[in-house]
Amino acid sequence: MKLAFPLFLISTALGFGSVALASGQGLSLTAGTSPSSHIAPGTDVTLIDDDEDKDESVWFWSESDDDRDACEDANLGGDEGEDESDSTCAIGVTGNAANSGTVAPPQNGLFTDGIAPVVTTN
Amino acid sequence: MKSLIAALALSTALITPGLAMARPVTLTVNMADYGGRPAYLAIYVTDSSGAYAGSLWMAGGKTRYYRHLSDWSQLSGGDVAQVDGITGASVGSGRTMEMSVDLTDALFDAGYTLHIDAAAEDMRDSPNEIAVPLTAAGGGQAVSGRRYIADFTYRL
Repeated sequence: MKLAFPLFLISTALGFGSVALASGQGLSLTAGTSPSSHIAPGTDVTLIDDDEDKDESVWFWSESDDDRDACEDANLGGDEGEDESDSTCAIGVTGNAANSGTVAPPQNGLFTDGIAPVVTTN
Repeated sequence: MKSLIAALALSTALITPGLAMARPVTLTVNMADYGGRPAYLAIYVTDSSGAYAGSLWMAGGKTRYYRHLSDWSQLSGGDVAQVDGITGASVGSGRTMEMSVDLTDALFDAGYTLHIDAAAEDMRDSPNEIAVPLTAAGGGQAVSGRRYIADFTYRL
């Protein structure tokens, strides 16, 4: 009897715990875990995409998507000036040419060695 | 003291021709109101035989789009090292890009040509949109573009 009572308590506790998990808003093991799967029919919903990834459309012509690598995906921004400031993938090997001021300009004989052109845009 | 003066004279003699061999030039690109996303521009120079001499500036940093600057890409072999350190932001529709650079004097009146390739998202590529001989007399004269560039001017 002494052994049976603790066993009863334990099994009761476990049983209540599993019921609570199954009925709550915890992890769902079923399909359809997107936000829209929890929304009642007929409800107006606005989905906000806040990742500022403006480059979901294809640049230039569509064939350019084939060779996109992870580093380029991380740097997608595409707007004026924005795509040049990310230092994560700064060098050409990883998808971006090195910005002016980050490395020495090429010594191509066209301009004074070591002095990059100064460019302003307005 | 004599050795100091000699050293000073030697260094001056070495430096002065170097300074004389470059001239400050201002390049101005007025973009047309083409209405699309900011354009990539490759500004580069070819010699009298049409061979690639080097790049002056790349507007736009993502190398995977450089093949759309097709003449530059072909002439330079698409070598990103050619524009490392001379790359900046792409240039928007209707904007003006102004570049100041000390160009080697030997580029002028010697058959060299300055080119600009242009391309923009979802729009047609425009290789060699600007091609202007580098001459002292040509300074200050605006050259019209075809698609993305309204006009281009270099001033000595």
